[in-house]
Amino acid sequence: MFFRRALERAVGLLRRNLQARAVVTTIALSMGALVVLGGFLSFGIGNGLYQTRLDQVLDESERAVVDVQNTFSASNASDEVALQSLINSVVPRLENKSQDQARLVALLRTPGQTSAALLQSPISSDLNLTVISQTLRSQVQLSAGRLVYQATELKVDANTHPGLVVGAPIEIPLAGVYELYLVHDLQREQETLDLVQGTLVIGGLIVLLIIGLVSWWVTSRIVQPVRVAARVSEKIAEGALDERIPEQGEDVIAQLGRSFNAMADNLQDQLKQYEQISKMQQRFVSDVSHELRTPLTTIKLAGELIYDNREDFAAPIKRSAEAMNSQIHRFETLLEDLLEISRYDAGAVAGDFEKADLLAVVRSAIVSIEPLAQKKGCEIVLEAQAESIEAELDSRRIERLLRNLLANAVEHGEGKPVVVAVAAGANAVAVSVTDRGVGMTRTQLDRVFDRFWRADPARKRTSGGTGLGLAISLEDANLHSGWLQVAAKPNEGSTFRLTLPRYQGAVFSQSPLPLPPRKKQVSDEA
Amino acid sequence: MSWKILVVEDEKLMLEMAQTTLEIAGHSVVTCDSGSDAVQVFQDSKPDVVILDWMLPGKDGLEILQELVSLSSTPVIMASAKTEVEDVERALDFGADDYIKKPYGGKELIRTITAVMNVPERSDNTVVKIGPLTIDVSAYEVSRGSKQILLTPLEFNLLLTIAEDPKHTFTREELLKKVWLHKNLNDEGDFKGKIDTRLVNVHIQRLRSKIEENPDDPQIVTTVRGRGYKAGAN
Repeated sequence: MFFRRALERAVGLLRRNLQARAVVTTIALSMGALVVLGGFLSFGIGNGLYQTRLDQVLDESERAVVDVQNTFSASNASDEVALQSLINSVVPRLENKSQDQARLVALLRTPGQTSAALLQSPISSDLNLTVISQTLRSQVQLSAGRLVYQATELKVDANTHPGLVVGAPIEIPLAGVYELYLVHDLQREQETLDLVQGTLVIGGLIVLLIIGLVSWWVTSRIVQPVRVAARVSEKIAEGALDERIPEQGEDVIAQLGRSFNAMADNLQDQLKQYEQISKMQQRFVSDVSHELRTPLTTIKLAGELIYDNREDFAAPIKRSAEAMNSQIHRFETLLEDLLEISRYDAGAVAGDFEKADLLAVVRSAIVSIEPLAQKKGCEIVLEAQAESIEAELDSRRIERLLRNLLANAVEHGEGKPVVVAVAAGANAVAVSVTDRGVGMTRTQLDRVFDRFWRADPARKRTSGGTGLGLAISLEDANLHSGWLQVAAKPNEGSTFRLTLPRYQGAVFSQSPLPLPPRKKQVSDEA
Repeated sequence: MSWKILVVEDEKLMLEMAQTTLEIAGHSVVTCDSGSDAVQVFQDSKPDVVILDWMLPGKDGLEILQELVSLSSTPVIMASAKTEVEDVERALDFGADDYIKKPYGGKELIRTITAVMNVPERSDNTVVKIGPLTIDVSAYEVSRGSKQILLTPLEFNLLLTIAEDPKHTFTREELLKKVWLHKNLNDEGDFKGKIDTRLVNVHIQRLRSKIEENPDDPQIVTTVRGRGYKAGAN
């Protein structure tokens, strides 16, 4: 379990850290290369050592065999005793007792001869005859005088040494055919080879370590500027548009830095330009609405005078006075709305959040819409689960928003009841306003929050909205980090639902009220 | 009631319309269409109340306002196309008694003037006490012991309204309806709401600075946190 977690962590690190990945890859590849190289060297050296020793051993053995054969051939021993002593002298002469290059000797009689085996075979005292295999013996017997050799393992004390057995047939007059075996200890070569291999391994590890350090250094030289670039671009993304990458040198990394900085410069210029344009536009809207105010005051003063005295005029002029009066009022509202939306566009609106009773705000909005509702013959029904719902709001803005929703509902509700539902959850509060009037089509729904958009340009309007009401309402909802949503069906009515965080900073993912509202809610009022 | 009203405004047609409207309502009107002449005209005509435009050629409305406030306690109503809350707060801080935003109509203008100028009418010899103060309504006098305190009509009205119902806590909305003669607070939306709150606060402060011994620790008109104002406990 522990290893698995450690492994997962390591894999995670590699996935995240470019530099660690580069270093680990370099080390892994170098290690592969070193293993191949070390294997090749080790094999070559081992082989060379063996071959040299083999040549030497064969050389020595050849001389020994010739020497022994000559001794026997030249002897004129005629009785068994003389012959036996001659045979016995062979072994000590050929033996070598050195620690790591020992040579042991055995002179064995070839089996299957007709003449009687009268003589004893001399064998080195330390020699275990099992090292001379039957295979080797039969090869020697068939060798017709040539040397035959075989690699073997020798037990020396508790250790195993590599060994080499060389054999050749010897003909002894009167005694028949014998085989002379010389057993060579190759421990010295083995030790040399061990030493070389050990050195190779240690050297390899040192080389790997150096490669690791070098690749760490090199990659960090390359990765560092990239890291800086990443950090700087993060800062720029967070809005610190003045951040730049330090530009050093002429290489590709410096090139990256320069291109990045050029990009950031461009971006900043563009943003500044847009900011300026949008500021100018906002200023323009604000200036226009200011400039219109003084002449509008004159018109309003004059219009009111005429309107107040309309009874003195003939009918057509009286009607004109009334029309002018209502349009002056509308013009004024339009100016107010334009100014408000330009405040939002300039980002100059700061909410005035206070703990307030949402239900009281809703009731107050209903009261102010009541005169319009009565004129339209429309009943406003309030459905709330509680007596009061405390929430942190800019109550003036929320009341304006609700007045706007209510005015729309009454306006488009065709005299049918308008239902206002209020509900609260732990983190959110909601108000929905539902009418059962003309409703909206899908395409109308998509545009309902657009500025100056009218659902039906042909329909007569009585409340004289500005076309900015819902756009401002949406901004008001956004100011609260809330939602203003709508659901509607043609000829079945529309529901606008406002969902607000219960307190500023509260996080919610669901509104306490359903949208569209449950059927029951509507049919109850039928 | 009929007052002498000075209207300072550079737009001649508008000035003419304002004059006509006010004269039809029974007031006498003095006009001035230049900022630099305003103070002189004021001193010559001695009006009961001044309607002062903010942006004037010659001299800025705020400057004129400061001079007028230093010359007399005649109520000044600032009129302007400036619409930000901060602008209005500035005008009130400079000593304006109220603020009327362009475009305004005749009714709104007259209502604002009336609020600033209106002296409440009560049956003869009505005397109301609040804390150490005595309010003689018919004589339009407020006194602490034998010392008389001079209040503007609006301040007088504000103090009398609170004094006449000492158990009641007046919310700002109530005061706006009773003293400032507002009909429906929602008529003018967000902007007006904020300004109105400020308007009440400013006038309560001014009233306190005149009647309280220590305006920072009011005893006569006290604040009920989160609710409004009421007569001090005594």
